[in-house]
Amino acid sequence: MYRLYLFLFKYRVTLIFIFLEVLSFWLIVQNNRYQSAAFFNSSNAISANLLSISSEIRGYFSLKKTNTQLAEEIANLRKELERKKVAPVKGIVQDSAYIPYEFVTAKVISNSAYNFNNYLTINRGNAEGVKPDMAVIGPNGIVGKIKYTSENFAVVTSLLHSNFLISSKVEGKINLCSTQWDGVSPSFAQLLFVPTHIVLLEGDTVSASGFNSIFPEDILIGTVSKISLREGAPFHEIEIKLSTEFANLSFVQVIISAIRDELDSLGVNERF
Amino acid sequence: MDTRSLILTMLNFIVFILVQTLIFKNTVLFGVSFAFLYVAFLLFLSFETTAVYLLLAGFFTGFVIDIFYDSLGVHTAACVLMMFARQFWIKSIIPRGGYEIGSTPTIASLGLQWFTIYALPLIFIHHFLLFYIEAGGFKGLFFFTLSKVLASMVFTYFTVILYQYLFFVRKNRA
Repeated sequence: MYRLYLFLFKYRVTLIFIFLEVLSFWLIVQNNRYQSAAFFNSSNAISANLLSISSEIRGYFSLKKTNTQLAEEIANLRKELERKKVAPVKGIVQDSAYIPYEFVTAKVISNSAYNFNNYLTINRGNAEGVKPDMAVIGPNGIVGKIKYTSENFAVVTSLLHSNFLISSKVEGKINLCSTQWDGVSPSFAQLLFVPTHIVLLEGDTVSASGFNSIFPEDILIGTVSKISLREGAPFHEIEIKLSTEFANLSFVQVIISAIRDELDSLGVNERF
Repeated sequence: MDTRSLILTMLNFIVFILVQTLIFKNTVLFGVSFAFLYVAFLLFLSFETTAVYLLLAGFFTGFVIDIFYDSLGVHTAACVLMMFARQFWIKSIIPRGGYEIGSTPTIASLGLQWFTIYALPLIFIHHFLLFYIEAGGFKGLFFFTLSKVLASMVFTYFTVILYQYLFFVRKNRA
């Protein structure tokens, strides 16, 4: 027994080192696997409040850019509204009480775009009905989905993340493909699983297909910027230019879907 | 370690965490170069600190940084490895005449040349583990990750040097 103690004491530094490293890797695995309410992330009260003070200060320096972005978004929404007004479909009575999606506007208090796994912290949480796995969109399109929530803050997994896949479509050409980030530039992502017989052109619009219940249909992802085909490969290699500028996001919207639970119960999520 | 230096170390820790998370978290050069100034806190711990305390300090610092970066475990693993390497590295680059009792491994006490030999490899080890763990989810990014490691190593090294010249070296002379 004494020899055992002696052994442990002699190698205590190495043993503690191994223990702490194992603990760190266990934390990494835990953090990647579970979407549940965890405390040790930037949505907890201390770090989130600190980050929001710093974002208040930084906010003043980007007021001009934020204004332009918001003005552009208003213009786009106006256009959309006009289009909706023009053509009411005959014979269909819309249930005015039925609103499939609600939007919660949130301020980005912490942001990253150049890491391999990027996250945002926003200043809306449980109190406003924000829950894990809800979609987050910005003024120009898709941003990510909620990972953790606390009472007043939430952490968003950005589209720029290694295990983020969105089922996508190119209107009129293909509606079964996926968008995934390749880890290099925050402006570009890859469009996967487009078979070789489908002809895409540069500039084609890529949007969410709505096949998984997180992202509603037709939310903009980006435009096709480069298409190539390797000899013998079953799929095109397609690069898309993301419509969202991840490096300077100021405001985002969380989409609270009323039909989400219903879709989940039908097993729509399991197929994709 | 007496109470005064303990309180000073803790204050130092808080300042490093604040500066890292409020300023350097948002500072990225050319999309590949990050500054992790907070490693300076770990590098500056005095020579007398025992190996077990060094490891625990590394673990705790990494953990707090991870909370702000939402990357639980990544900085922790990198810091613990760096602190494990530090004790061996310090023993193998001992200057003629040994280390003065009560001194810290800084430019002020041992000069720029010694500090560079001391800090650069440790910063490299830290950044190497950090970026390669993070890149684990992607395929075929070996050289891109290496470019991030090297660019960030240079950036971190310069911020650590600059920090010392701004706050320490001059104070020592006066």
